[in-house]
Amino acid sequence: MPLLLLSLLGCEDNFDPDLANLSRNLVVMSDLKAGDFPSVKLKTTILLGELHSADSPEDAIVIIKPENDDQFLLRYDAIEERYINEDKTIRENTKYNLTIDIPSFQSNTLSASTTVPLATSLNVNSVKSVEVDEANGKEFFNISTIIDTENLDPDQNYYRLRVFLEEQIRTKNQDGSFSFVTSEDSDYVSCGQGIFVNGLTCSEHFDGFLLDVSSMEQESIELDLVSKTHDPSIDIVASRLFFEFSSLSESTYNFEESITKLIESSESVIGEPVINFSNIENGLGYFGASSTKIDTIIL
Amino acid sequence: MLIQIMKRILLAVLFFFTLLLSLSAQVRPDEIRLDYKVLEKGLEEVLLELSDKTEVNIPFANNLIPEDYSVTASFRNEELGEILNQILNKTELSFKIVGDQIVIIKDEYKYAPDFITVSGRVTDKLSGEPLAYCDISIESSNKASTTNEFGFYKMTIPNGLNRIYYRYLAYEYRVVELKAKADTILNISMQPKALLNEVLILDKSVDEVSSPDQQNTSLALDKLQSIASLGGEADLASLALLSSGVSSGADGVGGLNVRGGSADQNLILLDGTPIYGMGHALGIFSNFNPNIVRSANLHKGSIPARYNGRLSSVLDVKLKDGNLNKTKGDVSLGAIALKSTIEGPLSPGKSSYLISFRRSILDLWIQNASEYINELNEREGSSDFYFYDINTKLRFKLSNKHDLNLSYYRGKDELGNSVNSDAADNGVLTEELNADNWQWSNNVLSLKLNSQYGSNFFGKLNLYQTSLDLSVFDYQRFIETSNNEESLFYSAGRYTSKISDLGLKYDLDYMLNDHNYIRFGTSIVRHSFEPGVLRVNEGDQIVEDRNLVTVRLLDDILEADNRTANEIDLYVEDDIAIGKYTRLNIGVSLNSIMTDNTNYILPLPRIALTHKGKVWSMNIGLSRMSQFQHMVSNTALGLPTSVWLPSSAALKPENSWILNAGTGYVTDAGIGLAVGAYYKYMNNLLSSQEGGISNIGEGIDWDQSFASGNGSAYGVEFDVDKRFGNFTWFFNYTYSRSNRLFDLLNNSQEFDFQYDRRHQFKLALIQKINKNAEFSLNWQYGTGNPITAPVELLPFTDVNGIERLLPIYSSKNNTKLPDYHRMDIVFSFYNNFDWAKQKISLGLYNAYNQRNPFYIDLRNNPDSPSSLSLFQYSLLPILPVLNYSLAF
Repeated sequence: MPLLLLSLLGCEDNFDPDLANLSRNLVVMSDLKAGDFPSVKLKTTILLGELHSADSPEDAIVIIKPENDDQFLLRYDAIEERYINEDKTIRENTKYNLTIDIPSFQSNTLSASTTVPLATSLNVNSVKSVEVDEANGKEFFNISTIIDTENLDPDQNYYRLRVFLEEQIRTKNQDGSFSFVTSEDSDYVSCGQGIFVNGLTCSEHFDGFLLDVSSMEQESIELDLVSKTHDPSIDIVASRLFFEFSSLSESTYNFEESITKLIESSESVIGEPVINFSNIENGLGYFGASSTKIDTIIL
Repeated sequence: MLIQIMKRILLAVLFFFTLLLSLSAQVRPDEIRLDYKVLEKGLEEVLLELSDKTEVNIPFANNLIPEDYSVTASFRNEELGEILNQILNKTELSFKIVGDQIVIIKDEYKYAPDFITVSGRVTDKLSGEPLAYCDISIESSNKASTTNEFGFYKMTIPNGLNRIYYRYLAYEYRVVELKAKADTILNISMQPKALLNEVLILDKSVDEVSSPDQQNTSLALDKLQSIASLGGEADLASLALLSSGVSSGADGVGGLNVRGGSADQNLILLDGTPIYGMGHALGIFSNFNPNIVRSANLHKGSIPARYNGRLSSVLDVKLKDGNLNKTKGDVSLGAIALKSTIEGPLSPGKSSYLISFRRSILDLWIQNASEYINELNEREGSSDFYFYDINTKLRFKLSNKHDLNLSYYRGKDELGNSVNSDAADNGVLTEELNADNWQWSNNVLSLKLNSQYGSNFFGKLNLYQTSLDLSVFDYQRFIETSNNEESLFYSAGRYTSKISDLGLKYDLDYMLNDHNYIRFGTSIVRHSFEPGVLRVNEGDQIVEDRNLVTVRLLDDILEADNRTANEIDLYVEDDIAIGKYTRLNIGVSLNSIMTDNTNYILPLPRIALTHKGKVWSMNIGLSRMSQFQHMVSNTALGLPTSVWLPSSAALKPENSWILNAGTGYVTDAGIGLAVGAYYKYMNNLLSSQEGGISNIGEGIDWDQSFASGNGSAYGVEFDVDKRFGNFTWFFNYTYSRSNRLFDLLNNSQEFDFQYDRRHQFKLALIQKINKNAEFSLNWQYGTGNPITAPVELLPFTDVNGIERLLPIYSSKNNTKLPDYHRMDIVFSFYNNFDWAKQKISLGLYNAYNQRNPFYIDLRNNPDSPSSLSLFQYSLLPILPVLNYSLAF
């Protein structure tokens, strides 16, 4: 890179910005999933120059209070390294308030709130075309499908779309019989590996496309699944596409988007810094929610 | 006794008063009244008769009396003076009263008007090139003027004898005693005080002394060759950076930022044609070979209506046209570049040529040095960098009033780097490749016809094509092999930005009278843009051979978007002289652009009041500016990864208001002082969103993906200079603030602009040791540029289970780099031979080796590999200044 070239002439020194924090901060990461039990991950940041090890405080008092309902406590699960309450279920269209106190760490209470959006059915219209080409001795097939966004809730702007492919593979046994194995080849249809959406960028770190329909002009989303390398020696007898469509709270969307941009820009030689999103008062991270519905297409 | 004494005193007083009365009662000779009648008599006879009748001596020289002139007249009780007036009325004769005589004299101005017009051209005596903005003044009158861009001047002066002064910086002043009774054409040629490679000393007793002009700074080309610069490579950019209110990144990287504006907000004119100048070497050097620059003016405020198209400033650079009289040339070799110029007549006095070439010679040692450094770090590969520019001009004097100029400029930079490294650890083999290539080039082709219509109308027709072509390719590949399984990760990017303007510009100057200099004109420009940005990685199946990503491969994938826009501008301005020292420039420009099925029309008023007295000066101005072309930079480092985009339905034109005011004073010792302030408000500014530009191309609705916002800048500037004598110096101090507010950036909070250097102090000293040697020193200090630095790290695990440490940025431009300061010194030695003049420069750039930070990076700390730390990188340490030049 040119910086390397330019620095051939120059020197490097430590840089110590006077604003660098002298003490760690708390990071909350929680996406309340409708129908699931509440879960909150809590970690500390790492200071510049410190070893790469973040703490997961275990003595925090994590309380969630649903709107018009009693608050409840989350306990620390040492295996999952997160705070959970398996007795509670997250409900759609409900606002939740979060408070976290860790007197041993900091005196201020962390707080945030989020509302769980209503799940939305995606209404996948149709498979537009299927093509099989021969090239370089391999088979390829192209699939396009259009997702109608016209009927989405006008008050709900943020979504995540994940696509999974399930293939039933038939293998011939030595005795001449056949075995059937079902594989979920999520790698194939995950970000950038065979699925493209016009005007959208896939976040491989969240394995899905993030949509802000308020900024979209089109009334439908066109998915192109292309160039699936198909090994002729594998006998696929059935394939299904799963469309996992999640309605996201604004905070979940913003956090996932900012993390995606941050990672991508840090990998680019000409990337720009991204200001981290947070809706946590007195802390970092996010407290958000999502509701998911799955549509299926049999290929 | 007493009575007698009193009588005598009384008599004496009476005698005295009687004498006074008799003297006062004596009639002047021209007031003697008489009756006189004459019929067809010669003038000589008439004069003798009048002398006889009045007993007034009327002497005259016989040769003055016209022989064939006869007089017929009749007067009754008329004064002699009136009679003479009437009978001499139709001659060139007049009379003058000398004691009690009336002397007949010749009066050549008798029929001349009270005021006459003197006009002409001021040219360089050696090259024949016109000198623009040469000061012209009348010694005993309230009259002053300057030449226009064509070197033409025109002014009204009293008839009779006038002493006219012509003053032009770095030229011998001229005084012409003009005795004229009718309109006169006076062409003046002026002798340059110093040629290339000569010591120049200005003398305040003859050269114009004025306080520094903070709004329209005429870059001191006389100091260009004297001031120390990187590698001894004199350059306009480094000279402009010494002006108050101008900042940049470290060591000039990133170009010029004028009064809180960004580099793309500078209108750079190359002989009147806009150039999308990114400069050479990331902006450290300007596009212009300094040896052929004739004048350079930096307008920071009070911008006249004839300048349009950018928000913040105008750098108006005029190059030499070529010597009409004699073949001349120069060649110089420095640590940075080799350059050479040759110019001369094609047909003496009628046509000329100029060819100038400059090429960096850095690649001679950068390649070897980078190879050596890579080897030391157990890597393979090298880096390379070069730039060049070429100027060619042909000038044809079609007539005394028409000049045809054909010029072509091309400048190019290329920077390449490829580094490969292998490592093995516990049976795991890793191979890492980093490669990139950056290229940017400018082309400017121009055909100009300069015409003079009549005595006060001038036209300048310019048909031009100007373009910028920028392309960047970067490729990072990481291969990990373990147990015969190979994992490959790569990231590659392709950035292209082409902008091409085809324009026709017609400027007209009309010298209405001594008080009104009117300019008006129009331009029609077709802009073509081709922006394209593409990033791919191992997840993209669009690159089949992942092991080898090439420029051609990405070019095949990337479909740059093509957009066009048509711009039409109209302007009119009147430069009104109010007395000798005060001018009011008032004008308006109407800018319009048709793009993307959208039309924008912007009226841009300008007004500036300037008083430039001999001792003190003042100025106040208000300008509204606009900009239809947006440059979106993808990095805060000022690297050439900027994409030029046109205004569209989504991207509104940027516009600004600039208010400036200042005052100046000149001391008896010839020291000029100036203080000024400015305020600038900018809106519809464009920026990439956080994360940078990721994808621009055909079919992508990319213009929705930018952030639009506002900005403001204000500051105070102090300038002090001494330009005359053996020891000259100047220093300036600038206090400035510049900030931005974008809805989509920094959580909608205001943030400091990346080139917001809060305090800047610049000093330059030049000591002429003798006629063959001089010493110069310049020192610059500026508070650090704002940067966005991480304050801590966020542990993050993605859905695939990959753990990362992500930098946490609390806000945009949340801290500042350490203060920048640097001192350069140089000794220059001059020798004159019969056939040439040589100059040798020896000195030090960054003389005390200050490690000025250029950028910061977050990476593993070598002292503690399991931790991340910030490191600052300095660009240019102490470096030798070494340059040899020869002018012939």
